This record gives sequence, C-alpha cells and structure tokens, in this order.
Amino acid sequence: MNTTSARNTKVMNRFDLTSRLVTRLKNEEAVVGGIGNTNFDLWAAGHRPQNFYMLGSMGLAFPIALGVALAQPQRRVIALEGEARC
Amino acid sequence: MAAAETAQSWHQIVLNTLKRNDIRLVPYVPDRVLTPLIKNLHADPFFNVFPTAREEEAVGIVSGAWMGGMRGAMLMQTSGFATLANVLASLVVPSQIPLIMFVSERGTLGEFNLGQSLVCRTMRPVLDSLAMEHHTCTRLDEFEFVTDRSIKQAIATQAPVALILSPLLTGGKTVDK
Repeated sequence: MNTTSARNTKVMNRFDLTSRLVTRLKNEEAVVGGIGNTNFDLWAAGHRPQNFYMLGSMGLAFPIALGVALAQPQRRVIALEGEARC
Repeated sequence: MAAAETAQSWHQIVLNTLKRNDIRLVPYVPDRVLTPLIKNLHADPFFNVFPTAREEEAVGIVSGAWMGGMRGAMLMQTSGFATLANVLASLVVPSQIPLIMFVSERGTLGEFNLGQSLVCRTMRPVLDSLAMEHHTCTRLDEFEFVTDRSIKQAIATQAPVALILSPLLTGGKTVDK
C-alpha cells in the first residue's frame, strides 16, 4: 500500500512571498512586520523607510497597522504576521 | 460659591483637555468608573473612540496612529495596565511613542476584590522600572493642570505618561446593595 501522501501543490516560501510583495509596492505603502523571521525577511527583501520592524510586542502588527490606517486613510497599509516567529 | 457651581467634573476635564490638545483617537477597555467619560467621548464627533479586546491592542493602535501623525490616548483599569509590561518595554518606550494612558485605579481605598488589591501593587513598580512618567490624580482642583501639562510633556518629549485616576478623584467603584 502506498502511504506516501500525494500533493500537487508547492509549499509557500515566506521569503519568496515577502520579496514578491515588496517588489509590487509603488505608492509608499506602509508595511508593518511582525517580530522574528517575518521582520528578518522584510528587511532582507530590501529596506524601505515606510517599513516598521516590530521588536517584541507579540501580536501587535495588525493593531499598529490599524493605527497607521486610521491616521492616514489615503495610504495603503500592509501588516505581515506569522507564527513560530522567533 | 460660584467657582464650585461651575466646576467641571473629572471626566469633563479629561474630555476637554484631550480636545484642546488635538487628541482624537481614544481606544479603551470598558470600566465602570470610566463609563461617564466613555459615553461622553462617544457622543462627541470630534473623537474616534472605540473599545478593544485587550489593552495591548489599544497600545498598538495608538502607536501606529502616532507613526502616521495622529495623536491618541487610551483608557483602562488597573488590572488592564498589568497586562502591558511587554508592550511598554518593547514598543512604546524604545519607539518613543507619547502614549497617554488614563488608568482607573482599582485595588485600593476600599477594594473588595482580592485579585484587584494584589495586582494594583504591580502598577507603580512597573512604571518606575521603565522610568515612565506617572501621576496619581487625587484632587479635582489640580486635575486639569496635571492632565494638560502631562499631555503636552508627553508629546514634546516623545515619552509615555500614565495618569492614575484615584478613587479620591473619581469616587471609585462601589457595590450598591
């Protein structure tokens, strides 16, 4: 009996995804990176002054992004979060 | 006495002082003592005021808003402040966010809840250990001065401040029979 699971999908690569996102930013979008690897990837994809790299406030990337969006409703805001982040 | 007749309540002072300092964003976690303030804030279209699930969520929102150029303050109770040590130490202090916190003080001056009385003791040591400015507000006649000056200092120096609203000021929480 064949116990090998069949899958026809590729595993998502976080750095690849982050890089693709960053290359598509054209309008000074704000990007909030969650702590740990999410942030490391955001930095490695090419630093931008509109990025905020969260240090240790676990779980707050989305609230920070919401705050930016409330203050600047005309600016698109993106928050990146992951799990097992450190 | 005319002065006494025209004196503002503590919550009117908070609302007027926030407005005078262009602080429009006020996320909060509900609290019995803060209820008249929260109701009046909701009734005033100047403010963008809404409840959050947790106190640290409100801290994140005010922090992001400051980065975007909008001033904010948050409202909570003593036990809610006790959940904030991580976010104060890792976001607010190092990022120099002028977070203005109004803390309704539970746990003292007639507290009936053992948990509240114990967690209250952690609040000032946490503030002191982070070298954060804080004031315990007990007198109505000083309250506008303390609030207005503290807000202005927080913004001018980009540092957080906690204004602890004592039961001596607010009346505190009482259990009615």
